[in-house]
Amino acid sequence: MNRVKKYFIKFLPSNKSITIDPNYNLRQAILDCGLDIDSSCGGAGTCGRCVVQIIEGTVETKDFPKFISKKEKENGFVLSCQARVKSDLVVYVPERVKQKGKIEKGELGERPSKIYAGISKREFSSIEVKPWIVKEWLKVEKPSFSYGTSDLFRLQKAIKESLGIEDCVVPIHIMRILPNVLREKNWTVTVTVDKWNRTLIDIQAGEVDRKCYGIAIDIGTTTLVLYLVDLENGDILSVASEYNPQIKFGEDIINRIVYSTRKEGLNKLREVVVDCLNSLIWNLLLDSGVDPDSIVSVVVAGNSTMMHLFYGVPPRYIREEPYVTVANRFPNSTAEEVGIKHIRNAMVYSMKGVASYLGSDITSGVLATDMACQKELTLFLDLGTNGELVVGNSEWMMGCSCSAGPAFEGGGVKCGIRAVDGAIEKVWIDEETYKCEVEVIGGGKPRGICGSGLIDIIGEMYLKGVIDRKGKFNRDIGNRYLECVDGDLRYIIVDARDSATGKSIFISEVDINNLMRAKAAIYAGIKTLLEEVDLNVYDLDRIYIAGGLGKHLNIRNAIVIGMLPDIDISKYHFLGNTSVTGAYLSLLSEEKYKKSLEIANKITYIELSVNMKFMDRYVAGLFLPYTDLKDFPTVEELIYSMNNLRGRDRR
Amino acid sequence: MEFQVPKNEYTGKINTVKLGKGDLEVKVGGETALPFHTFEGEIPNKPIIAIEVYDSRPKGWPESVDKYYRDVYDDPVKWAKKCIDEFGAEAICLQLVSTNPDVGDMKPEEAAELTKKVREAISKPLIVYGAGSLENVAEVMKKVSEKNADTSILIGWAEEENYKTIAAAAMGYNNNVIALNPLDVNIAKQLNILLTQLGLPPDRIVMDPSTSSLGYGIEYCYSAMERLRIAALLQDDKMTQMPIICNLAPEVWKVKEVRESEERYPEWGDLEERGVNWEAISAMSMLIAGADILVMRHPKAVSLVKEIIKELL
Repeated sequence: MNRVKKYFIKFLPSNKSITIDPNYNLRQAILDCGLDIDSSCGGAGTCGRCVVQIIEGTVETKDFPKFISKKEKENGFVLSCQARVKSDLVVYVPERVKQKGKIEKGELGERPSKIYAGISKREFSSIEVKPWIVKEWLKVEKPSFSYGTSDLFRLQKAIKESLGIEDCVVPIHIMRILPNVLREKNWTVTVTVDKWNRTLIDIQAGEVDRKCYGIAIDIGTTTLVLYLVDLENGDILSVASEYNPQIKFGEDIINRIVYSTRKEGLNKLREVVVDCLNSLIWNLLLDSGVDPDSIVSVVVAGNSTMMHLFYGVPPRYIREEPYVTVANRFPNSTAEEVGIKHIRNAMVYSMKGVASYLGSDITSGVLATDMACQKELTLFLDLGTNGELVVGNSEWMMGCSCSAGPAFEGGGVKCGIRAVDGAIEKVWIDEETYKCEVEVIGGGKPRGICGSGLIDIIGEMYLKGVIDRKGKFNRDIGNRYLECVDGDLRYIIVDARDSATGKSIFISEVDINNLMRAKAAIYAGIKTLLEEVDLNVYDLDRIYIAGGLGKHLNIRNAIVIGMLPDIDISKYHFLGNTSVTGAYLSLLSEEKYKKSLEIANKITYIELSVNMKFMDRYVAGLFLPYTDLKDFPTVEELIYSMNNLRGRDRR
Repeated sequence: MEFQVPKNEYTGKINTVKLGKGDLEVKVGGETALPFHTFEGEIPNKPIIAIEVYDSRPKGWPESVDKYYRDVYDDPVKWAKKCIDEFGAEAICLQLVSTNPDVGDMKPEEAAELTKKVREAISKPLIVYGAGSLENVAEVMKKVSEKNADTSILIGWAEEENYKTIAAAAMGYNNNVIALNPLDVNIAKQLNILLTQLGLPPDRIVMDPSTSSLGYGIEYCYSAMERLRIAALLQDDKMTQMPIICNLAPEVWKVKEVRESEERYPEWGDLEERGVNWEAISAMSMLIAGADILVMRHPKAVSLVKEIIKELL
């Protein structure tokens, strides 16, 4: 009998181990072991982020000179997704590839008071807290020979008398417990009713606490954010957030959709996100001390792909022409039906999206900004992993997605990381020496550079003449922080000695190229969308920016690099995570939720992937700040005066 | 009521670029209207036709065109003179293909020397195209410009990756630059911005928006050139106001329709006539789209196009 050989792998520094078959994929083994590993390509071998070091043993792999230098290769560094196990191994999973754990509360889960600071405080204070789910004490009539109607009939009658809801629907799972619950406390019950959908959600014997709580959830491609809310007064009792655990299956939605088409892929993606939500909900409950049974409703917002994955609906047709969703709004479900534990009585409602690439997170954001109720012409810009825009006012709205990619969240940039502790968020360059000065989130040693830092560095490099208008390094200016590694030119931002990883933090020409593409897509999207309705950037009364990157964003530098329109800076407002805010508002008010449905129906979606003008402007945007210099008059003025000051033209 | 010809109102003007020095100076560009729209504006300089000269014996030319040049293949100077004296070339375009290390072994210094010899021997302006990688083109043009200082030759080509070297070579020795773009208005503009910001005057730049042959995507070239011209003239976009050169001959003379014999395709008719028409129609399309300089090969096509230009302007 042939005994199938198995190999034993030990991972350092965690000391976790696993036994696998020969030729098994090393990255998969790392994932199977429960370890997280960075990867934006989902294991296709194109992002170069899952590099690990083989300490002992052999793997079969190819050369990846783009990601692994000759010297690194000699030292055992391999791209784990492209390595097959050929013996017992000891593998070191370096610090850089490990996901940073928890996100600080202040980082993404901002309290609404702060979110609202810039915009509609007035609107927020006037919001009528009137959720559509209520708990009511009822006294149901006893049956008798002279009044021999069914339990259901008498319950419905009581509901009608007390809440004014006719023919309230009682689902089968409640029917099954109904007779016992009614009789348990002498025909006194507490009902939880969805008034809007005229459905009974829960029934408890006797007069129990009528406090109702709800949870607002934003499922982002990168992060999950939850609010636990008191439905009586709108207080937010607790906030929880975490990275979307699906990241390890691919950093952007396309890679996740691809993964979902693999065997068991969809289930796996759904499972990890639901598990993570469950543990976050548990944290909310512990933190607030709220009784799980008093949580009656959950409102979920997220981009279309995230929503499909959360509900376990195949998202594959989102990425196949002509790019359609299965649904833009998912049916009201019980918590149990979608796999949410701990809060068995709650109903789960989804916000409504507009199209495949304009999801319910955007509808939710538009609701949060209140732009749909105001006369002023507003541009709403969500700089998440994708980059979506909506322009309009109370009369009309148009939206699009400009597929900017994850560059500003650190994707596709070698030293890029998300906006967490250790991320460089601000950069200045000394004009004479070209030395960088940085500001780090959390104040410690830097580990990498996040979106706002990347925008700063591009802006600064351009203004100080380190790069030319095409984003190429000027080699003739005596910049001693430039170095060439395997043919790739890099500008050292932080020296290896001063970084938390022991490696230098730099930006390469390839990185700059990726960032140029992202910023070009955003500006091209803005311009194309406005032109569709015969407007230009000067017509805008204000610009709202949402997304994890927004908070630290230096607007001036975003204008300098041609990502945002060159208009009065005072028109710009940062809002943070508007998706969760919209879900939160919907949780509190039937009127707001209905408004969000109206918004979703009202937004006209423009598909940019087949728009020639968008393509033209995108190419025009691969230039600093933009090929049409007239679009950025203040930037040109600035460049002109800086050159004059310098007394020579370095670009 | 009398019929009024509807007219465009132009706000822009194409730059005038001077090719060659002294007696042989020729101006290109300068128009204030779309091509041949003489009823709307000024077209002070007619488009000019340059005929190709190669630095070495060309391979694989069809008999229909080979027969006119084979006696001068070994001497680019004689070749250039023949183009001017016998075939009416208004400029010479020296194609330095042998400087491409994959094709020949001509060193930049030798190429510069050859360019000088040809230039000194002819009475018309000189255009020089390098070959091979952009780096290689830049290295060769550096020497070519140096050896031909202050003669206002037109050297090329510059792209994003080599524009600094080419621009420096042109500025340092007072020559003109061909700025090449891949049928893309944005990239054309970007390159012009980069070149002018280095200090190269706009009237020392000629754009090459890439050219194709009739039947092989020429409509894309037409469209790119048309958009460049509309931006330049109607929108007064300074960074599109450079004259346009179309390096047409190498594209036309490689297509099947000018090479396959009449025996093989009897319905296509006489090979030479077919080739002449193919090149002339391609050339006319480019002229109507906005070309100021055409690089051509067949003597009969050259004279046909010259005749049409004369009729129209």
